[in-house]
Amino acid sequence: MKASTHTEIYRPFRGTLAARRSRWKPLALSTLRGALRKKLPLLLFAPPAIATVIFSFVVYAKFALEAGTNPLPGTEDGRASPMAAVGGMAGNLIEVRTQIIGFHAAMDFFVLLIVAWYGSGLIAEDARRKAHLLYFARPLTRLDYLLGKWLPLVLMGACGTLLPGLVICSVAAFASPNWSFVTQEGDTILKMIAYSLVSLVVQTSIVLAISSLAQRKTHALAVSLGCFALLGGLGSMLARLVHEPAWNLLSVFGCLRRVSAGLFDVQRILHFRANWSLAATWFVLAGWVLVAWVVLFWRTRRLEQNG
Amino acid sequence: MTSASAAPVIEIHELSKSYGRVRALDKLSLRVEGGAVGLLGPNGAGKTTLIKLLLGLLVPDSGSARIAGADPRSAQGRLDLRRAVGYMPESDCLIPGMSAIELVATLGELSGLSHADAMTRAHEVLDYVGLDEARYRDSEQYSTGMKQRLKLAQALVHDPALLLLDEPTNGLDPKGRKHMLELVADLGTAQGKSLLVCSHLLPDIERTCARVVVLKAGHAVLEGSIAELTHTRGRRLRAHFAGALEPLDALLEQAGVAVESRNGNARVLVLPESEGDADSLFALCHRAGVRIESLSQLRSSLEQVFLEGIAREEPA
Repeated sequence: MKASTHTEIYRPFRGTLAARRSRWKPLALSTLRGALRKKLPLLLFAPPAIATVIFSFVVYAKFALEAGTNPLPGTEDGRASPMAAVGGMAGNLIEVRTQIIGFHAAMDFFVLLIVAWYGSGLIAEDARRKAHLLYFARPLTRLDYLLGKWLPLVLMGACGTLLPGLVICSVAAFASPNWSFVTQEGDTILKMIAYSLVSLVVQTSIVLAISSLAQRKTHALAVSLGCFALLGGLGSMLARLVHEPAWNLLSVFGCLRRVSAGLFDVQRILHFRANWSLAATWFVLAGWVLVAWVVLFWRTRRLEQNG
Repeated sequence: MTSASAAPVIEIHELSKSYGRVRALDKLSLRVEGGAVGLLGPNGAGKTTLIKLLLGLLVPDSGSARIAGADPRSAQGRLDLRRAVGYMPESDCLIPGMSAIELVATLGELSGLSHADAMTRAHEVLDYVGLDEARYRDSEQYSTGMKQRLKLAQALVHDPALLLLDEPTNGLDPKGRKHMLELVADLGTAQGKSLLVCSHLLPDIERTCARVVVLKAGHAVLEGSIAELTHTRGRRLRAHFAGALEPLDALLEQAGVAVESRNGNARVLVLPESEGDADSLFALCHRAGVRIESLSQLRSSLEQVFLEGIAREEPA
């Protein structure tokens, strides 16, 4: 019931409108709020979270074993034992760098799931529901609009790759004696950040570009997952059939693994031999990103200027 | 719509837009100087296209437009005009999963309001349009009337001087329509906003606007103040007579006076264009032995003006 004192009166705005400000921020926050409103899809973050715990424990155990302490307090009485000797050997064999490479390789698929789920509808649903009419009736540039959609997606993807990587590195830094991980393997942190950002930029750009081309979220989701799976399968199959590893350049994940191998200076990622041209890989990934952003600007221009 | 003195809010010069072979606007020229202006026309007349062209949401094939002093064809012009203009789209374009308060505040921030101002304004305009506690509910659950009011609220959040309202009463029941028309009329009169109200419903325009532009097939076939347009066809008279009317009816027919309606001793008469006043009617009554008890001049309804306007041949 409306209060008797209630009157619907119009109150003019007495303040001033900012002539220019980063208008992508409110859009990005609104996108984030919208994404986090539904709880069930948050389960997509569970695999990276579980993996982070496991990999963090392994890294912690490595330094604990190296230091000769029991990584599971309470399970032994602390006296020298054959287990401690084995542990010392294991501690020497386990490398944080390897753990991070393995983590990224294992989580790539889940990160794609996160990015595809949250990114597929961002532009497709705006276009389908004509919400872009509300956005572009405001002083919002196309770049603002794209940043407002892309940055939240990067942030959500980062929760599956960059954030866990930072957690693992932090555990290593705190568990290592005298900060030896930071002083001796500090570049691993930078390489982890670099790889995560490359992976995120590539995956989010492609998914968002597909979203801008699709008419519905479900279409964009199917095409995004299909695109990554198809290209991955095709590249891998051709590489095996003709014994030419360069065919893996067709696969986005293949390229990302090659970048990972190049950054961390290893030959294999899990059981995947990454030994084709690194320069060609960078070229292909840059091409993907460039094409994705050309598509994004083209489609956003159409959204803004074709009503 | 022409007056050389006032600065026009909207100025359009030979604006054309086609969708494939369909010509939505054909060299349309207009000058709107503020106040409440109705954009009337049948479906497909080019009303929505014109509004989108003014906002820079469509690119014209040729011609130019200036709205709120800005050119929608340039990127900077679009940003400037969108700061000064509020747009209520016709389509159901609300973002699902967002409450009304969240939607309006976010769009307020996108218009240049600070976060605090945007929240305050969002509450104020939602109050104004009558979305009380419903403002916290997901807008997807709203009735059509509430959605229309929410769309009006988001257009008002940054307090623009000019509002472009595309079919504001679309899909509303009589109560909702009445409320919406009251709001639009209040904005145009008490709040001093300039309005461009696009509708195919004549009573809506008649009730909310002082001026009207009638579009047909991309042309402006009629424009001017509603009072003037309906007054110029002012030779319609309502007369009450005393006496036998049969001889008078025959004389009226001979004199070329059309009888639009009959109700007992009352008649609505349309005098020929050449008649400057009602003297001839008095003369006819005298000849027929009929006395005129009352005589009043009727305005043409906007509907009649509209129908005459769109019945005209398209300009060359």
